[in-house]
Amino acid sequence: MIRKKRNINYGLLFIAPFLIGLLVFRMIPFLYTLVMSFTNWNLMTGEKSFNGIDNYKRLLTDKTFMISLKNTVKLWAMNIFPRLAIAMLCAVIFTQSRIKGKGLFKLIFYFPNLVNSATIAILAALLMGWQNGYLNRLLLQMNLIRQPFNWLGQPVTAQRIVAAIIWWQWFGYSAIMFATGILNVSTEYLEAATVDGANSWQKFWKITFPLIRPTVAYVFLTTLIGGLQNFEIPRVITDGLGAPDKSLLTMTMQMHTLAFRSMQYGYGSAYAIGIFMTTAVFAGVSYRFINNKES
Amino acid sequence: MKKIRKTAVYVFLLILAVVCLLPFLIMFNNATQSSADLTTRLTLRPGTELFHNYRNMVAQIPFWAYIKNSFLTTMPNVLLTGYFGTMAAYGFEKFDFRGKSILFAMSMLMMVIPAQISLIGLYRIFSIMKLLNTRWTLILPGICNVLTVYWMRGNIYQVVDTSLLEAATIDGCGQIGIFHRVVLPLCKTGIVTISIINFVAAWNDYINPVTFITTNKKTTLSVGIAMLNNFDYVDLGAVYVAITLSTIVILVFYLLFNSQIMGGVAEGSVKG
Repeated sequence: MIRKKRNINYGLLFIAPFLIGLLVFRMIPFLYTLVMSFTNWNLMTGEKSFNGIDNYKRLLTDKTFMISLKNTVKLWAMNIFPRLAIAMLCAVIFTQSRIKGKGLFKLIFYFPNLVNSATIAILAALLMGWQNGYLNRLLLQMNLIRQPFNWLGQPVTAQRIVAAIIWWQWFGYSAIMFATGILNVSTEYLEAATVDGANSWQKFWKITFPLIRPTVAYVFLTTLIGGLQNFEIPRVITDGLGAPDKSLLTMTMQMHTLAFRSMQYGYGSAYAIGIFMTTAVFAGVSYRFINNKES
Repeated sequence: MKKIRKTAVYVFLLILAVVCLLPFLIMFNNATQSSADLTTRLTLRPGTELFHNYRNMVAQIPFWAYIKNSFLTTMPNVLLTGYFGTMAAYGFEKFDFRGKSILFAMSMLMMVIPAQISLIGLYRIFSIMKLLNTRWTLILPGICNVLTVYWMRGNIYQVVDTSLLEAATIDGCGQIGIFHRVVLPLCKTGIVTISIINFVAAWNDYINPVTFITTNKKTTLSVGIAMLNNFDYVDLGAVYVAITLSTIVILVFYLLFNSQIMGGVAEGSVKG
């Protein structure tokens, strides 16, 4: 550390642009959103005054909020467990088995994560579309179906498809994270266990998994926080409508629609704070759950 | 037994690889088929209509303008992040001042709070600053990329030797000169890696451009692609070519920089 007195101010000087940016583009917008959430600001009606906790009362009785919350959690829950399981399996293979081409497989598994979500969503809409969708054309041509099936038009299949896309985009990322976590665990333990005659299954559950638990917890929490902000795929596929039957309407989508389509800054902000609280509660509960298990 | 197991592992990996790549392969193939064929009969053989579809696409979609717009916002954003992010990381890592740990903890807290929650507030701030519908809305927030500061702080800890900084001070180099002439060159590899990762993130950003930029002239690639979801207006072959090109751009980038991208992702997990 440089501790000479004349240097003291330079440290602050170096972090100043970053801090000012953080203040202007992150902290003030957050506080501004919080303040707006206590107003009835609406560009359409021209209203703009404080209305206390009216927005929050409305939020708690808003059926759409409950629906969007349920959808968001459901889309996350549907993909998280298959994602963690497959990613863990890949990570164990990548770190512990002596097969060729591991690098290439890693490269391939991570690729879906790099293509922008808008492209993925459009491709999904083309492949799973109704009258001219690729899958329907294929099934018709093979005489497996007589009528084109509206995959994205039925709530159950639409939600499964979106959850599957998110799984597909993210399992490779989780696999790399887990693989790194395993590599950071000293291999001595594993070698000692092999000498003691432990099989792979025992080695994984008795040694590897407990040691990489922090990585698993980190991946779980970040996917939870990220998953609750789910926006791009359902938004692009449904053009922000969340059709069919609002089954693809996520919390952030509805907030975006409220604020930037119906111009309700006040209620939209309350909606945003609602998302924040929901995320905090979910993250807090899972954090405690993970911590309890660890101790 | 060992052989069976090895085969099973291979089959598992191959199935996953096919799952990852098949949608893209269908997309590439469909980009070469005529729009009429795409709605009537499917074939697995590559078609001959690629150039025809491409001409249709550029006639209907300002694809290269989207690419240009994305580049003009992404590049300055990434440079801003690389420069000021390293600067802040240097300030946090190599200097002591009052309130440092609180400021650092506060910055890290902002990493946990999803940025989207403050979207309406940020929109109002940009409106007050008269920046809506300008590229600045996507460029300026690059100054405060918390993840980069966190990442670069670790990098500086590893590669910048404090005794070297002291030697430079004795040689009469000013603090700002030391940052530019000693710290930045030493951190070059780290800055390049984090910049490549930031580039992908900024290039793929959707929620910010769709919120802050509503004039068609400045539409970025992801927003432009998203607007294609009404297939009634554009023919299918053209849409396939557009998303294929959008994929190829990032594929080329990935093939060029895969070691940095994979390394950066992996390193993120070490620190997390």
